[in-house]
Amino acid sequence: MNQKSKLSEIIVSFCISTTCIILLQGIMGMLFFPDELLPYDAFFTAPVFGALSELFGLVTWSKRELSVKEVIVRRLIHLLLIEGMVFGLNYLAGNIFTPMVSVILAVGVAVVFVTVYFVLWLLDRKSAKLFNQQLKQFQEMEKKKEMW
Amino acid sequence: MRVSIRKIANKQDEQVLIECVEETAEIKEIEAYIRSKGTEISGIGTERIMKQFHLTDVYYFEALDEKVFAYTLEDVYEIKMRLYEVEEMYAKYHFVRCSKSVVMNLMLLDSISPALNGRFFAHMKNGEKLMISRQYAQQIKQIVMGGNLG
Repeated sequence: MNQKSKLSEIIVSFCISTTCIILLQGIMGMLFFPDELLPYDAFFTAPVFGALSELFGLVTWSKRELSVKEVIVRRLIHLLLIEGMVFGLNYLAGNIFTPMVSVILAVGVAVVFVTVYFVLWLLDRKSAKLFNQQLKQFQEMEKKKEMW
Repeated sequence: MRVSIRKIANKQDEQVLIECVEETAEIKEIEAYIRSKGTEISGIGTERIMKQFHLTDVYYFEALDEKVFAYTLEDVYEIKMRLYEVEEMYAKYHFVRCSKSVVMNLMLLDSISPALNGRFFAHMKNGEKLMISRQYAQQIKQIVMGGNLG
């Protein structure tokens, strides 16, 4: 994978995770803190969480090709780092949650995490579908060339 | 250097024999050229007999324990080539590297599907499934799709 496609994958992943974080924040806020008003700077929390999540994604990168088991382990570490970052930053900001809210937040973060990878997988599936269509044309064309 | 051609009866017995005092760079170049010209390869099959087979019948080449194997529908052959040589010599016959240890035949590729971590599975026409590494996926897409990258 070249640098350009690596960068575009990070940008796509960042955009998906930021969108999902905004949705999670909105749902959690409406459910547990409906009377709270947020200042303008609250708009920056989602992209900051998204950017930090991408930064922690470095644990999943490797020069060599990882086995499926290694990929799963590294993704679990990635998720744990994100969970730690979300709770840590909230704690530093003075947000202390009840056990129930904490559990729901932790599950919500995991859902966002899975959603990001699922959307990336869907994008790969779309690109695989396009590739498969072109592959048939490529094979036909090359066969014709050989016949000539 | 003297060059002689001797006609024989059997196609299967065709060969190029280089007689030299020393394997110089020039000799190696001639050897590489001859190897790259033919679309028939010889290899040791599972019955430990040297056989000739068509390059177009090879689904993929795989490097295992310092040896390179060619996989056809009927048999697996051990060939006397390095994987990088296979990759270089047979690129024009639509063979492309798909992982560190595998060079596959694009003409016998049926489809691809997404796997984990930006990798893809290559479903060959014989039903076998190979892994396309992240680093080679882009190159394969480039060959097949040209400027139409998804």
